[in-house]
Amino acid sequence: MTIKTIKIASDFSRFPSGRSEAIGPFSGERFRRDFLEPALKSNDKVIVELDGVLGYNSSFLEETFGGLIRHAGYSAQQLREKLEVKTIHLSLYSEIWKYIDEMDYTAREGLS
Amino acid sequence: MSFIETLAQNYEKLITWLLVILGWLVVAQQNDAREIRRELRAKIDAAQSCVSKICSEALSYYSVSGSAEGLSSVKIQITMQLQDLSGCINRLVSGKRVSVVDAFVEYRKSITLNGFDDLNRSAYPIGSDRLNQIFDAASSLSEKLELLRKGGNSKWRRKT
Repeated sequence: MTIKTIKIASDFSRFPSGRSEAIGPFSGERFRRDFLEPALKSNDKVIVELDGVLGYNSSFLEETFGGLIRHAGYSAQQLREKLEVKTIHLSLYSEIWKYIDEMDYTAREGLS
Repeated sequence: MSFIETLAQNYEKLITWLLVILGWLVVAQQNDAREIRRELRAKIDAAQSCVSKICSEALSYYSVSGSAEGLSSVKIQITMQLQDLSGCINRLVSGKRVSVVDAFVEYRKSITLNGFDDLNRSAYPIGSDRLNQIFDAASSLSEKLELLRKGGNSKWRRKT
């Protein structure tokens, strides 16, 4: 079983911000496309460590994690098996899984 | 003289000492509880003050257009303060997922989910849905923190 750990603060940026790449180089879109999706494709499990950054905007979190369902075609069930989110902030953990579940529901019901 | 006989002859002294120790334990426990309540009140006051400060900054942020000068530093400040508030709430709820965490998530979403990074957005007028939404989320979070103050003492005591 292969496990990959991505530390956002050291592997991506201490200042992640924004939804789309048009906003800046450290957007959720870029993190998902260049870091998270390749890691999920080539490993059995991916651990994302969120702590150590300046802070997170909801737009970054939604695009990164909700986008895994919207753009990469994963289901919430698959992500629960493959993705682990590590943080000391309860609110981040809660918000991320909320986006995943909401987007999964939207995709299943064909609401988008 | 046996131990039992000695005890029987001095039972009055023994009861006096037991009452003294019991009284001391009760007073010590009450002092601890008072100190814990005071700490909790101080932490909740700090969190509520932080909620108001961020709300005020977010309302100012959205009251001008996205291209206004000096806005990027305000954006960074709001992001950092939200992160600090998240940590503060974490310590208050001690790892338990309670409604105050959900209220905080809604608060962060109201400020940073849509348009936070959009340089082309227009200024939102006072009374617009966007500003009302931020204000409502701030009020809701503050109320949830207040509930923690009223109902959270026993939980708080067990955790510390």
